[in-house]
Amino acid sequence: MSGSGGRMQHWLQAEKEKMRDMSVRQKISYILTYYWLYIAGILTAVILIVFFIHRMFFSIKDFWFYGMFANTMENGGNESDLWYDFVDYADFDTTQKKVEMNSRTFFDPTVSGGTNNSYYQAFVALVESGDLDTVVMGTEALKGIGSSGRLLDLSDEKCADLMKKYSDRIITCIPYDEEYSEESVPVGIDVSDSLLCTKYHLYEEDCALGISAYTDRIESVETFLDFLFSEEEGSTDNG
Amino acid sequence: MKSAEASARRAKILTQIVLIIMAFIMLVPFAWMILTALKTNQESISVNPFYIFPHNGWHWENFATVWKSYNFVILYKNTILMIFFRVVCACLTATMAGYAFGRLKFPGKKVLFTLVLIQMMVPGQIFIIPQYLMVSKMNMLNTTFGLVFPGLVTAFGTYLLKTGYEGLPMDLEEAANIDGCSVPGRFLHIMMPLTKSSMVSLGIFTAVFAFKDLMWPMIVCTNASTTTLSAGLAKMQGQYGSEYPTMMAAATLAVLPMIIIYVIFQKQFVEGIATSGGKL
Amino acid sequence: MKKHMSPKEKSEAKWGLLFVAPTMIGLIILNFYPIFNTVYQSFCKTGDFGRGNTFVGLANYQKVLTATETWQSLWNTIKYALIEVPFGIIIALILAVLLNKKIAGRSVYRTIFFLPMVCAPAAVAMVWKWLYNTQFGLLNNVFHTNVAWISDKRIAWISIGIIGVWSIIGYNMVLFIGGLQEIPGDYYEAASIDGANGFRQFFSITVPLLSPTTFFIVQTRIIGALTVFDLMFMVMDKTNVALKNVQSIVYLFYQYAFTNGNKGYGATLVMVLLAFIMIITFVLQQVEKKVVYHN
Repeated sequence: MSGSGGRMQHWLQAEKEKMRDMSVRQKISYILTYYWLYIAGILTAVILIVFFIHRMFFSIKDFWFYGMFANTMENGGNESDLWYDFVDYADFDTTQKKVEMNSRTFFDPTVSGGTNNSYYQAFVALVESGDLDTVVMGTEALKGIGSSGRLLDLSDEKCADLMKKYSDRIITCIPYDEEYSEESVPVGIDVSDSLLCTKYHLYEEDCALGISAYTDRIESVETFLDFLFSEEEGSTDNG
Repeated sequence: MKSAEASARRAKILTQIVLIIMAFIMLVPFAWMILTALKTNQESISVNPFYIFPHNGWHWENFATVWKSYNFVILYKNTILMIFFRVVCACLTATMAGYAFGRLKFPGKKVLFTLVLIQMMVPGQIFIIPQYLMVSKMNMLNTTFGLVFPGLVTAFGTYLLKTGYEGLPMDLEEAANIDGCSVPGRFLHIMMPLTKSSMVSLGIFTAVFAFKDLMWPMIVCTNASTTTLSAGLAKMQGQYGSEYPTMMAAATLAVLPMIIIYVIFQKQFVEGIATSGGKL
Repeated sequence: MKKHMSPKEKSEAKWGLLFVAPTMIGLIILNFYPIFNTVYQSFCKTGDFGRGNTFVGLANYQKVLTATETWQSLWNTIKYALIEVPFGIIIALILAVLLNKKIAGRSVYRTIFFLPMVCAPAAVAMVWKWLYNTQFGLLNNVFHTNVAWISDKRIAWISIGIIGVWSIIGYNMVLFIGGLQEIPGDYYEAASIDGANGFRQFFSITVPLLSPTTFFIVQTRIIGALTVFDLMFMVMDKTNVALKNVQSIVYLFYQYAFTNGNKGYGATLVMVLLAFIMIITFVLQQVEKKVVYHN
């Protein structure tokens, strides 16, 4: 390493020698012509590093809640009425964690070729990464998704409360994979008469909510369900 | 002499005929896209061949509808940013690696190149979930970096440029080697300028693939202000076949900048002859 | 490796490793971590309904290798490659050579041949579905036939292959034009002075000097054709009766891993495909040493 250090010094001296008789302007243009590539490289690296540090340590990372509303033409995405009302209702501090809603996906396992699209791939990625909490879509379509095993089995201990609370709304499906069970598994909660339909008009026909098999935010899901079945209050309309 | 001229002319006419036929075949879907954009909804789903042209008037307002309902300026900006960074990253890393694989001797070269090939042999779908997880864990969702992330390096480009470097004559570099030019010097000043056309092809492909990639922007950028063209048009394409005219109008508007970029790049292609052909 | 390297060799080794470092590090993080994940998954039964993975050893491999479906799809994939690779390459080569001459409207043609690459996939799918439509399709109307182009077992694979060739021509052509640009013009001038005609020039200059590019295209297209997916994704429905005789192995993988949520089985299919492509690539690399011209 000392060898290369020596070379550095040597090089610096040689460059100084060259630039001694130049004016400031000449010096700048000399440096720019011979070293622009290095300067650009170093600048980019510095900007990238600052950006990385900023994103990784000084901005919001975790989710309070990540919900997907598939196959709807209404806006139920971030900063929609639904989003604001839910954040208000749950009293989530969005400067700490994020509330994410996505209403721009379209897939339907009950239609031939209905999962042969990028939306479905995106959905699978969101589920299997554990980011997504819930998905709402037409009841039949949700059963199809349930059959692939990507929704949480609601008879699991984790959601005993949910099971008790919404026992009359449970939707079941039969798994594709017979090794699991030939009987139906509870995977969804009917939300056809919730605020989603009555107030925000995301769906006109039957719809149901499924919980991602990989989520660890069951409490947020419970809050969201409470919100969906809460009475319409005057205060939310004003906000 | 006269017969030679006549045969040259015949060859030229034959060439033109072949090219015109091929051009016609290649143009069909593009023409279809634009014609569908001008039809009414009803006409667009009819498959009767006599309805190639819109017969209920030309509905130019479809374009206006699409333009108004989307913030195209932001979509163009995000798409162009993503394409720009992907092209820069791909060309930069691939030209270095391609040069090393094509011209230098170093330990482990064969093993490493096999890895490059293996990357191309597996279906891209298996990368989606792990790559999304990485971007999510790095907290890079809704950023340009998140969009560029899967395109930081390219196995295809590495292989392409390796081929490009291998094709250059050996003696070129040997002369410089004798002069005592260092490896990076040889690379930057002699070899890299000669593979310009391979780099342009790589740039074109990277841009096209980045542009057509719908799924990645869709999961990485959920905010309307950070998403790209292809994903921004999601709402229209998502409906199963019900709004073809607006969808095609949107697709046409989305494609225009790509064509402009290609036409500009293409010039570079032709200039490539002058630089590489002249020096050799 | 040799223990005694001259300073020159040492510097080459150092710079070589340094130059490939960014690409290799990127590939390992972005691609090889997922690939190892897939290898691991192929030994697992993935947990449905949030119950976690269970290790099942070679059970998936046994299932995949004994399923006739696997071999049928592998054969479908090979048949597809046999159409797409040779025709896609030959047509593109002819077009590229024609466009490399000074002819009227050259840049217009180049732009037109590039268009299918950027055209919206939905438009492409619509056009082809319309062309192949049994009742109203252009093909049946023009030829006065009544052929079920994409739902007849015997010809569906050819119809799909034709779409494949059509969509790949522009891609191959861009690469060929790039390769042609790197052939020094002086060679052709010298040949013209010697009195060689167009055909002679093509076979004695273009073909050998273009062979590295050609080999590159052959290699990447074989890999591309064997991992074909988008085409079937666009044109074939699940209800199509010819699906079994057309679906590629990646399509099958998608059905298992994505649609049915059986990731372990899907991962095993990927491994089988990977092994198959690796064998072919190995053979190709041996052929390259003999056929490809290096100056």
